[in-house]
Amino acid sequence: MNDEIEMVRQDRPEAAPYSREAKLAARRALIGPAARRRRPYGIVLAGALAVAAASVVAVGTLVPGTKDAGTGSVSAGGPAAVTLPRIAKMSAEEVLGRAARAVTDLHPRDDQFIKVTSQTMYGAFHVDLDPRSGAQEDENRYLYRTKRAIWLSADGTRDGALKIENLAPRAYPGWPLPKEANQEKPGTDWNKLPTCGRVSDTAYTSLKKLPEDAEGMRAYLYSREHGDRPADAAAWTAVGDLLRETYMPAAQRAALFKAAATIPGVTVTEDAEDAAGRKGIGVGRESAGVREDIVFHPGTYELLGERGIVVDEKEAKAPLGSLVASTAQLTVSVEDTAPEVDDPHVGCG
Amino acid sequence: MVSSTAPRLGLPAGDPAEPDGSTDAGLIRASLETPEEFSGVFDRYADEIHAYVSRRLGPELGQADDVTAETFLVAFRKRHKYDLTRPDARPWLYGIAGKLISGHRRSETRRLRSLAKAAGGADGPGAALHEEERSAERASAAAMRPALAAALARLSAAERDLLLLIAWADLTYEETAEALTIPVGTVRSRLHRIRAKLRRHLHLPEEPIA
Repeated sequence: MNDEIEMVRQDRPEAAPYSREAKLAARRALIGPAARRRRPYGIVLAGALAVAAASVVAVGTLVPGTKDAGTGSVSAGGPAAVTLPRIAKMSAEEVLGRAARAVTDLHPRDDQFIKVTSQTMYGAFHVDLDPRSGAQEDENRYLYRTKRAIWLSADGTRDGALKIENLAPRAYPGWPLPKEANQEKPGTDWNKLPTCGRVSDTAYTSLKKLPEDAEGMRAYLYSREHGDRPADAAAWTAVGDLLRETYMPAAQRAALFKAAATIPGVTVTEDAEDAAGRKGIGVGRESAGVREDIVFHPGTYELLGERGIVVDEKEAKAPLGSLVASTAQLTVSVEDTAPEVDDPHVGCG
Repeated sequence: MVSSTAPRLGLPAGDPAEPDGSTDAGLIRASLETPEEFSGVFDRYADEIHAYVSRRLGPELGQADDVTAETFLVAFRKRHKYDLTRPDARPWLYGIAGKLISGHRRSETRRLRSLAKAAGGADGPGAALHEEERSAERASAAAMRPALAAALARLSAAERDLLLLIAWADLTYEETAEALTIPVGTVRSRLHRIRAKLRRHLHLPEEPIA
């Protein structure tokens, strides 16, 4: 009695061919560095004291590197501002509005590269699962830290490069330093970032096509696929994704900041510190017990970095107030070339 | 989420059920610790998922490419929720793809309508069709019987989803139930209703669908 279904089956239309290019692009999006970088803060934890101390040390080692040559360099790594504006009564919208007015633009040519250097600290999260039931048997965590430099083609047509320098891992508050942390080998990895014929969504020219008004940008933030995550949380994540290791053109950046302010739950925190120990204003949103802040320079409101602070001990499984993620975007500059990387493991095939 | 720089997961090396991580569940489990492992799932099913999506959305505008890419990205992000007792990941992937296709419902309905009109209805062949609809016609070499396309267009999105998982993706009732996270009994009862609808609509093949 399956006649009708058999009929539908028989009349199955031809499948369209899957072009090699599109398939490789999809595969690359899945396992490429962009996918790996998208690491929510919600699951990372950190020792507040240990990390604060580390930040102070980091200033001394990292700031000299911020004097980056290259045409039209915008240094987000200038001297740490010590005077904070009085913002206690300022709403998220006001802060973001001021940030939007402070934007500058590098105007890279299509054939140039955006180079971004940064320092990151995120949680490494290790679970043992029962092979039969998939139930969690054991868990440990630590914080891994890196210095990164990324070169991305302004128009997305040229292969980029990513340099990752591993820094010593740190324990995370309330958790012992696991033996796995010691397997983090110090050293520097170079990665090739092939385009494989696909222009990335965060290439400068792609970003330039995004809406220039807050309403349009807001619609864009909410239109991005977000699986089963709540729409507001996903929209906030999208804000960070668009800013992290990218260069948003001025008009779109302004629109993005204004749009971000309209996401429900966004809050302002004074005295937020980035991974380089620079102080700024944290504009954030809570997710999974962690408030994810985007830290702005208090004078110019340029992007300094991001951080995660535990606001719900139980949900985050970490002490209240501990710092669970911390990054600093140190420099953003325009360069004519990207380093050639000989990386036999990376290709489009 | 799992760090890409984190060491390998301390799983028992000689798990007899999956000696080399060769089931989908094995790959997904390995990918919890080593995200790159997930590319194995992509390599197994990307073509199949793409074929299914392109049947439903048509070849134009690269929509099948986009939906396929999104399907695996969503799967990747949700992999920690995968039920590792299920060795075969196909139903799960089809379930994700189906939800994403629902987001393109207008495209799908437009495609079905254009197929329905292809044989020449009241408007004549393609008389009032937009360019993309015309290209959808051209591209569907093995175009469905127009009446059938019209009948499909008249099903609800959920009904179409269920029917086409069985008829076009060749999933079993059990796999369809898994994909849609509904009981198998529900699959059977819904299918019964869908058949009745199709029967009714197919007996009125010239009824306009717009």
